Amino acid sequence: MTDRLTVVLFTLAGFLAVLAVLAHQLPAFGRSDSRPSPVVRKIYRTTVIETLVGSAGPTGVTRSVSGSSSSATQPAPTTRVS
Amino acid sequence: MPTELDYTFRAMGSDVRFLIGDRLLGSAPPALETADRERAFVWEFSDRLSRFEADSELSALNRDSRSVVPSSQLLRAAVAAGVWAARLSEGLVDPTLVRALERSGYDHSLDGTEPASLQDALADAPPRRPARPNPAARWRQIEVDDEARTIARPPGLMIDTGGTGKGLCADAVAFRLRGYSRFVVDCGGDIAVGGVGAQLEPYEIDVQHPLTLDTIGSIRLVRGGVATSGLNVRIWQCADGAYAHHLLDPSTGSPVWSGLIAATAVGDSALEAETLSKMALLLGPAGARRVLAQHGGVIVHDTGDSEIVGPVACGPGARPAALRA
Repeated sequence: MTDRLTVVLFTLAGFLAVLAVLAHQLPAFGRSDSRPSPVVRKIYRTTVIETLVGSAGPTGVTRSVSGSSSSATQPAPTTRVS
Repeated sequence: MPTELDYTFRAMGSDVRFLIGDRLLGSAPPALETADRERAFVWEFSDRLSRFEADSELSALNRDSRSVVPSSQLLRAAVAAGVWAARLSEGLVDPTLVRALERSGYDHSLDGTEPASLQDALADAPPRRPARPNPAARWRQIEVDDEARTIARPPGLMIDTGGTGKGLCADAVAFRLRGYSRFVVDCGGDIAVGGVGAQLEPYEIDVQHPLTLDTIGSIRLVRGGVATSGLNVRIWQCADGAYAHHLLDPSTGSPVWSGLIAATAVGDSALEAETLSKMALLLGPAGARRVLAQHGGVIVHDTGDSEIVGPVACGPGARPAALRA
């Protein structure tokens, strides 16, 4: 009986200690900062080229995905004799 | 950030390429999924309409002894396109020259065959003269009936849809890509362009010289088609030493030597561009300038010199004279 009471008291003490620590930290969250935090945006253009095995054959296929900006490196469509 | 799928594969003896922009509607499938689907369509289109495959629908039609033959929608569309091109060209682009093609040696696929030297062929060729329609105009005997789902023609009149096949195929795929912001469908150099994104940022289509393979110009295209016909790819030497190629003078059934070795045309569709480019090549320099005057194009003389003809513009928003050398 005494041991159980001791455990409960220690648990309660631990809980109160955690509450105390949190209460101590609380003002830091509430502190206002008038300076806006900078937002950093990075824009990446990803080029993926996926070549399936056997692309030289009649059933081969080459796939790529690229940005359509002017700096895209994909060759221009070409009209030609075939 | 806008993206564009670049998708290339082999079909119809040529490289086929799709450029597909972003989806306009969320319900449209991802571009890659659509490209896979359209590749299957192009392969099926090619198989069913091949003159060289005995089990193709076109071969079955050409063998059929009936005057009126039940036909699939695809075959009807392909034959109708051939007749349309014949009508537009007043018989110059004639879909009934199968026998003459076979007599000249084009009775099997030339895919993978090394072409003969065009320079040697030009040195050996007869005096240059423009092609003329065959007065018999047998193509007028072909009737496509979509209601009855039949094709009628005199038995024995063989039809070749190859002269308009790549352009028609490019247009068909382009129509199916209208759910995307912008797109290019390139079937062996016969190209269809479309999408609202292409209105805002037109595609530049390079024009390749048939001998040097250099880019001799670039056509700014908002929508429609551009196509090139030429002599340098499907050309061969016959057993008797004479040279032949696949573009025939309908009035003689022999390969044409018009003074041009290639012609590029812009049109409202890839099918129209393909028809105009063939007309231009068949007619030679003077006729080509007339044919290409409306939409524009490029011709390459058999000296190798290239010449820009007409406005080289297509569709609203395209810049006039937008070809840069």
